[in-house]
Amino acid sequence: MKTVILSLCAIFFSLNLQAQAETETSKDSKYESYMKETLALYDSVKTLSDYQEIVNRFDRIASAESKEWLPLYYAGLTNIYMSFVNGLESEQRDDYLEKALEYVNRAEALEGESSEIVLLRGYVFMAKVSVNPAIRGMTLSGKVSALFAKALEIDPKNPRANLMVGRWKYGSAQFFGSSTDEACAYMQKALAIYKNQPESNSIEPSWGENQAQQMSERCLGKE
Amino acid sequence: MYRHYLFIILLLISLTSSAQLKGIVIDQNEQPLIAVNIYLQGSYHGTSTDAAGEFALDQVKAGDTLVFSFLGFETKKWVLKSQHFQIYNRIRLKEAFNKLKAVSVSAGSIEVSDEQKAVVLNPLDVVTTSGALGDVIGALKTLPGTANNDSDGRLFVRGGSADETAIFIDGLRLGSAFGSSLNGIPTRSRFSPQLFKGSFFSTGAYSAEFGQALSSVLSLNSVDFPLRRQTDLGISSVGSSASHTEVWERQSLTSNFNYTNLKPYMAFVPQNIEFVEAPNGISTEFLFRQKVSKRGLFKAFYAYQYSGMEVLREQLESDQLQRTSLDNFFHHLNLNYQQDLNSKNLIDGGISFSANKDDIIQDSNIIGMNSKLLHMKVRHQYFATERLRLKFGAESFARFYDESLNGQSRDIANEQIAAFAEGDYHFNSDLVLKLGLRQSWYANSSYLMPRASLGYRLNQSSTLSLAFGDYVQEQSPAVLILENNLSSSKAQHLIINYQFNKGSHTFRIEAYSKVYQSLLRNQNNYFSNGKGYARGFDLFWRNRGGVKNLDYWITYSYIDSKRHWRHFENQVQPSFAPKHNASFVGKYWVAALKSQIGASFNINSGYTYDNPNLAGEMESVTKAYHSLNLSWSYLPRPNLIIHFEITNVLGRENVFGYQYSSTASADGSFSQMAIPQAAPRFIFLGIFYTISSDKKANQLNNL
Repeated sequence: MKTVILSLCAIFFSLNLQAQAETETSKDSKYESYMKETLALYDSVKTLSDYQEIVNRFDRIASAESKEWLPLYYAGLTNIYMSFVNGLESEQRDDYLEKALEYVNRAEALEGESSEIVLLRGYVFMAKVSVNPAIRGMTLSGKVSALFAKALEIDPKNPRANLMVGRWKYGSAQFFGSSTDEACAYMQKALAIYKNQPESNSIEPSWGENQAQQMSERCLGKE
Repeated sequence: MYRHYLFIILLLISLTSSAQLKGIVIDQNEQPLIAVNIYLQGSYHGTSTDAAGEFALDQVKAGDTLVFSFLGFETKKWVLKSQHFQIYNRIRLKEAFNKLKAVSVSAGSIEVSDEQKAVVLNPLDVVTTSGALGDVIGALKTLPGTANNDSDGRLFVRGGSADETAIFIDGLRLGSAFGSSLNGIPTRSRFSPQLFKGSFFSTGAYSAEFGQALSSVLSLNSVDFPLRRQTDLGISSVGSSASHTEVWERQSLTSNFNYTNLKPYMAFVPQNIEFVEAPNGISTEFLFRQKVSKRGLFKAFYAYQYSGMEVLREQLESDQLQRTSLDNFFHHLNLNYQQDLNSKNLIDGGISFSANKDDIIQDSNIIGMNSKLLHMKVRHQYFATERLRLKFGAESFARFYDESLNGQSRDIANEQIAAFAEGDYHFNSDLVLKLGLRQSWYANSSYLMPRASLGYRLNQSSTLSLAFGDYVQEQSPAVLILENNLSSSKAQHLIINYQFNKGSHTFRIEAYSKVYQSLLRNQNNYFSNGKGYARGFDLFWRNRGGVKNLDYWITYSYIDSKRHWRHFENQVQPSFAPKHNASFVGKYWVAALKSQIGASFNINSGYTYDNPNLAGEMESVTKAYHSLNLSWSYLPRPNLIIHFEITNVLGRENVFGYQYSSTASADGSFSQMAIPQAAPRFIFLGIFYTISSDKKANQLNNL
């Protein structure tokens, strides 16, 4: 009996020690694996609540990892996606975008004005314009253009910066009925950068390829 | 020993295993909240509530702190106790107070800004309203509470005369806010709307921060920091303009140059007035911005304007034509500094100086008028809590005025100081109370002016508000120079307002009462014992985007106003306050034509005038005024705009009153002469081109 108890104790201790060692040595990998697990949820999103669950997860990671900007970045991005869900009142859309802006500010406080963060800020304002283009178009569009241009200037090889500059120019070309050539050139450039990127499983921002693909196809279809 | 091990085992079991925590998250109305984030503080571990608001969480234990967070609600921290594991927990979250979504007082005020909430008009509207001709005031005249007086051009609000409206730029008073003009020739406000990012227009019962305005306040906020380097060029039927903005890391400088000359235009378009020298002028503006440290901003604005004209006009009692020339010189300097001391304290202050000089030659008489205004102000805002904001400030106005006639001159100077304090408190998101007090000292008298307002949200889309206030304005220097011992005029405002906003619709109705005291009277000598009142109601309906690409609004204002003032023996309806006023404004974007097409129709029931051939005073009313205006903005490329606008398309011959001879003719009657429009219509054609790195930038703001 004594031996049984002793061995049980030993197992318990070793399990505990093992768990402790794991938390200390592979904190990064736990962070990464949890990030990856959460990022994988984007593939199965169906409802607003599914999106909210993703935001909640990033929020939790951010609360535990106070020095990481990526969870905040993705929480912001997901709020932007939520603002585009069909059937929302404009006030609700604005709520999500205000929240997105809050995350962008927090991410920027950690990471500074990097290309990805400036771009995300631009994306928030672009979404704000889309809530009420007639009213906000004139007053906010300058800000959106400036932010996208800045993101591209900081990192000309950022495919998302190329994509968003292209998307923005495409929208305005359509509104004014002018040529979309310039916009399409950006889209094609974005697509080329995406295609040349090595397949990676990193948690760094990598979204946008499908959109670049679709927009480029639309561009080709028009010609 | 044996017992020892058992103890350790039990301890280990209790530490590593734990029961499941179950419950539901609800709001104050017992409604379940879906997708609330629930997690162990400082860890990845957590869950979200399901579609029924329920949750189940394991691997937590007594002593852990759980965080409940949800958009729009206050985050709740909850320390777990062992009994929580045995019951079904009901967690109630409190709705967060959000200043942006809380009710605000809409009585009397019309905010022109980009924010979505309760906005009646946005900055773009100002410049795309047909008939406004790019003048802020022109657009405001289509709003409730205002009256059209096209022969004057200034802003007349709710039975108040034009000088009862004060205009502020970044909180500092703009002296001589309108260009000088000769009788019957409409003037314009001095600055292009492009300089401003938003404005606040109040038709009564405004904050304790504003003084020296009996009826209305227009507060313009200049652009904080321009976005980019940009050059704008414009040429039009009446002149040309050039503007350049340079932006550095921490500074920016915008320079504008304008040249106006109506001579070529008047050669094509007939006028009702004979001009010897067509209205012409130059103006230049400089705006400098400097960011100071992390949260400070210094703004400097300087403007210089010159305008001149000369006319020949028929006279009632002479066959001779009267020749009048006007040269106007205007300077304005506005220095403003604002600093966030910390997240709760904001201070700002500044100095503005306006100098206006009019040189008039009428036949052989040489007249000079020179007025200067120096305004200094400091203000401290304290955001005590989310719900409570306090504002304190002090200001001084110094006015200097001199006038001369054929070499003989006289002058006057006076000073007034004032202090104000105001607080607004949100009891909750649906109820706000604002209380303010203003004290001013002028000469030997002082005035204490209470102000109060209340906003209450009836339901999601409608708000009721009430506002009240006392206002004082000193007599104009042109009168004080003749009689220095006059007390200031006073007004008391009471306003009740109902506003409805839903989707693309805005509807508001506002009723008001304004009581005047100590108005100026002129019975051989000047007195300040006049009286008066104005009361009425306004209706406003706007639908923006309900029909795709169409935006329209309709305004109706009823004004019942009478005054016992100036030289009148009785209480009379002033000439500038027609009883019924209405505006219809529409704008439609036609993508296929790359054009915005606009129309506006303004109408009122006519202006009162005094006909000495009839018994009574101000007993007659002119025929109804109306004007139909059309505009067309064509944007072939985003940075190129061609704008065409024509006012009074129907050619209505509006009359603003009549002048009478001072002596009766042989048959005992006084001969009359109508005061017509300066021109049957105004035609504007302009081309505006913008050069910047952002190809979409344009000058819609200039139109």
